Amino acid sequence: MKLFVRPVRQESEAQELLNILQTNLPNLDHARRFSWLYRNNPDGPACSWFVLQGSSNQVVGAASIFPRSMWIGTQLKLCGQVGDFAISASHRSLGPALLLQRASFEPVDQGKLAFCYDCPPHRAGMSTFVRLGIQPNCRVDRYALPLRVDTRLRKQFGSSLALAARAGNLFLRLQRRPSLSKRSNDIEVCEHNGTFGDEFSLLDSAVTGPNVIRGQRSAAHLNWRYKEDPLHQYRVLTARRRGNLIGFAVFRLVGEIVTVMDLFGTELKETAFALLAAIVERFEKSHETIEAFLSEGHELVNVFLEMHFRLRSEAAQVVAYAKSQAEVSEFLKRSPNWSFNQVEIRS
Amino acid sequence: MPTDGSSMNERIRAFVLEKFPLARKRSVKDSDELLESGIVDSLGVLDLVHFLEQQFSITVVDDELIPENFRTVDHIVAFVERRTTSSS
Repeated sequence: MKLFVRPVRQESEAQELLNILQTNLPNLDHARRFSWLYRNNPDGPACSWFVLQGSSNQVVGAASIFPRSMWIGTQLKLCGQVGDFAISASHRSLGPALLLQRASFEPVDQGKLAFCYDCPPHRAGMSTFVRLGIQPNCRVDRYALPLRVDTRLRKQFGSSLALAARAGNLFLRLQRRPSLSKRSNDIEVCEHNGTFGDEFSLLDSAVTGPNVIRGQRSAAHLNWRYKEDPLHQYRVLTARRRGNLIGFAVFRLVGEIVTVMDLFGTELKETAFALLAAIVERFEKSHETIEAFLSEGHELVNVFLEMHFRLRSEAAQVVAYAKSQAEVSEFLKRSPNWSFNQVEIRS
Repeated sequence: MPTDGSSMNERIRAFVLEKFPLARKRSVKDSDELLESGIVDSLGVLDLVHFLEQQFSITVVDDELIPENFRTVDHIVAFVERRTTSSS
């Protein structure tokens, strides 16, 4: 039976798109986040495609590209992240997914986007790229810092190991202490409760490198992503030296886990020590673990390891597609440094 | 896995049972759903394609990666029969 792919008419077919997303990616409340993610993104509205079954026009899959301004070296370019890739269980025969994956390349081939990238979180998500012969550009790993062990021990063994749990907590605290003392005394870390202002855009522009790829962190983007997200609440810490913004961390609390979404700034090593130390101090008595996500080769990897974070698992592969022989394509071939946090891999 | 003397059906079924743990666990029959049940995912389809191309000297193109060709062992057998017939 013939399958075909076509763009989604965002205004009139939103409900069909929501139906296929909610059925096949049930862990998110797609209706609540739809306007925010698909329409209100400051980098532009999403482009989406359906794959349909020919005889009935039944929607059997969908995928989208969410525009994302990226720093490619010292140039800011409009790129796109592929996401919300959903295929009906009965149609996971690879062909429908290939149609969607190829469709997602169209805005790049048409010159509307400098490149697009996908971040499959599991092996099955790589199947289309394997078939197309496209290699991943980098890997993003999950790092974790255990803050305390008593909650887990109590869940597993009851209160019989209370003494051991206290000893475990003490051990972890002592182990962390030397790294916490590495922070600079002239960096002031504060909670940031308001919206993101122009100083964040200036900070973003100040942090560029000739060989780095990362997402832009303009005030408009940060406000949209962290202040307007209808599904999640975030907290922000800023790092300042003599009043000037030099970095920030964004994190969220889910159960016993503190997830660092973003850690960014100038003089990143010093800034990161100060921000991570502040997060540790705030949550070491109330939460079990701090987790964070970093691309391989990220300049923060060594900071995390010095802070006693440990590499726990692979979180995603990053696979980019650029128009053949375009300037960006040549840049990608030169093995640039993908400076990705969690914020770059989640749509 | 049965060797060359086995029927196409037996060879494909043996591959499915060997390669996909859920197929063994559920003792799949030739008419059982492989895709919808999650026994074979999209990476599994890639493995199946590689196996069919090697074993039956066919080339599977993207347009043929449709559910009708991979839904059950029976569907896979019918697909390979069509392909080997059309290319002979």
